[in-house]
Amino acid sequence: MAGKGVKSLAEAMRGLSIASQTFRTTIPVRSSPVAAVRTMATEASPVGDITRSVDQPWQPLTHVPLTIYSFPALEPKSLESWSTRHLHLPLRRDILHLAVVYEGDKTRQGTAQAKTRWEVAGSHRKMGPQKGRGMARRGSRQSPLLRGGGKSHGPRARDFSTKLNRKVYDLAWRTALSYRYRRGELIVTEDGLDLPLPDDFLQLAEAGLLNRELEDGFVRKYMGEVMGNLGWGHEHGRTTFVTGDRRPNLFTATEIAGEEGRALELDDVDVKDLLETGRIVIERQALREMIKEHSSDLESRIVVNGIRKEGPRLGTKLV
Amino acid sequence: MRRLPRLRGPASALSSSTSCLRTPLAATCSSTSTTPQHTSAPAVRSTHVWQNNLQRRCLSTSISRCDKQAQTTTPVATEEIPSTPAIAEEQPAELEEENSYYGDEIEESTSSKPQIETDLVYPGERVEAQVAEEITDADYVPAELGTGLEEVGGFQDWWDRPGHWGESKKYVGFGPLEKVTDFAVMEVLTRRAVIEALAIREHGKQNQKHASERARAYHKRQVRAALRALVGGEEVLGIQQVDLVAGEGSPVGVKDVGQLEAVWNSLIGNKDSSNRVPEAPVIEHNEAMDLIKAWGTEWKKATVQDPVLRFYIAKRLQRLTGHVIADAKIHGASITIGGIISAMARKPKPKKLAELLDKTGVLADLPNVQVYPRRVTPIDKEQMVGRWKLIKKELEARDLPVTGHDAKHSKTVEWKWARGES
Repeated sequence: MAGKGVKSLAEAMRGLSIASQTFRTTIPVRSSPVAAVRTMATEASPVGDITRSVDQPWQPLTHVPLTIYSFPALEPKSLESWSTRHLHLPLRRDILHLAVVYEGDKTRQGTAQAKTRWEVAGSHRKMGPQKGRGMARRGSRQSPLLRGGGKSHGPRARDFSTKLNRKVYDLAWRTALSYRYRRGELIVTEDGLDLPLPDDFLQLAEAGLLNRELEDGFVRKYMGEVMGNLGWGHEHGRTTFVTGDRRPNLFTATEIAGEEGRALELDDVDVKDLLETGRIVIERQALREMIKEHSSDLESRIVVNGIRKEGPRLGTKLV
Repeated sequence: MRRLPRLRGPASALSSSTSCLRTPLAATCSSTSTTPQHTSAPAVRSTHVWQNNLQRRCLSTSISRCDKQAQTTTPVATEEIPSTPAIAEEQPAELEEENSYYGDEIEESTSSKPQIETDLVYPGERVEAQVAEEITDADYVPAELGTGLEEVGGFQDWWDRPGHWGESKKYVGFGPLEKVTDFAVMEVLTRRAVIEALAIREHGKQNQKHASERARAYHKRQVRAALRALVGGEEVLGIQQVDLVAGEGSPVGVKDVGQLEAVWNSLIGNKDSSNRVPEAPVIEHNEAMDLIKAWGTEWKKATVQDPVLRFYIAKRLQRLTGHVIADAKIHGASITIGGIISAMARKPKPKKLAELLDKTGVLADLPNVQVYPRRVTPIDKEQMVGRWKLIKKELEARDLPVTGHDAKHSKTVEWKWARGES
């Protein structure tokens, strides 16, 4: 080592250059064929074409189409145009989180209640002499130190509900719907969404020729066939049906074949329900009412000169 | 967050005079509110099912049936039911033996009951076996134990047994059940769908000129029928003559509008209102490839700016290929025909990392890396070195559980105490 000293500065610099390091070529460089493929959910995807020249006018999307399907054939029946502020909002996970936590808090029963020493029944007579027993002193039998006594710092029945600004909560509703829409998981059907069961089966059931087990078995199999062919069933993450009121066949079928999906009345739906299961199937009128009810951040309640700022129109029919 | 209670009593499910809870579909479509509609004073009918006292839970949704029920209480076959042979007439041979358990079931049971035209096979009346004292056969020896006796009856998997499920109960969707997966065929069908959609839109434009309401309604029905038309492979290949005006970024159109007339006629000529399962047009892969080469790629760069045209294209594509294209995948004025094709042909993301790695082959070349679709368990490791069979044999020889725990070899002694065993 000592004998191989550097002769000059130029030689030393040459030795540091990349070209002189021949070993670099011997290390196999593994080039991943999926370098451009997004592999993790948290990984940022490459964003391209987000800048524009000043001479290009800024024309953001204002409306998105919404197809109304029939059920269960899934025939596209009509087309509506909806405002992007209703059905094409950007995903805000924070707002969805706020809404789900708010709902969770509100749903807590909050009825756990342990008795304190003042609530435990019984005599308050002193359990033993204060001194002379050679053991710890004991007051009443309600003491938290004794078995059967009260609980100190136990749970008390209370209201766990938290607050969330209404405009934020309403935005969460439409954000959840927009998220589903963007992913193609929001299927809107014609009004009167129900599962049409075959007439001959209904006649047989009505004539008393099928017992409960056969009836349920038929409905389960029939529902399974429909959901399997639509790609909506258990294999594909189940489906949530939302209707305005209770539809006998659909609700019975989802109760019997719960593995295929669930059905909810509009009043029973909340943001968390919209985020669960593989897709949301909702009837047209229920969607309109849902969005109408949750638009407080889009419209003003203040009237100025007899005019109130109204939000965008609900979907308009194109075809 | 109110959750669904278990099925409520059907009092609300049984509306006034008929057993139709829902108002017919046509009526509900125009309703403006989805709030529950409570009919005044519902006359609850006691419709009971066999062997239990629970009231009917499933109701008809078809309009014709509701009307007929209103007229007569005797169940009759509706026109919508495909004419199938009455079950009493012919039955599969393998069913005869099984049915003997239920006696001369269907003929007898249906003779006293209303005739219902159905292709479902349902059990007849229950037949009780003779009690031992009444049997006169000298060879008969009553069994003392249940083991080894044949099990009969039960409805657990009744509808899964061969012949019991009717053919007419199969799902009928708007598109073919077998989706078109050949990319070349998909492209040809997309071109066909674009031309058809242009023809339908052109027809709609002309019809707006009609003054009378009646004429407009008629043409609206025609458009609806054209969108449902089922065309064959030959007609699809017939679009070679139609020239698309297509360039990068320009809206799609046809050179000669007169060429669309033939397409419109083929649609109207093939309109299909039956309730049968649609089938995709039959096109050979090679034929499709030839056409694609002849057409080039320029036509796929044309944009589809009109949302109505996009709707027509998506609907025709669903009818022809079976693919449902979500609105969100093809919205925006800059969507091109190529974009529609790729939205349709896009395969779902693999559910597991192992599937993705298998597909991309990223780690396949590495000798020291192996990819498994699930967790490698200790049993797997033993199997890999060929020791598992031995271990299993030895465990069985010692009467020890092969996997998990059993009652004898529980984890904790408390478990036994809880059962009062020792």
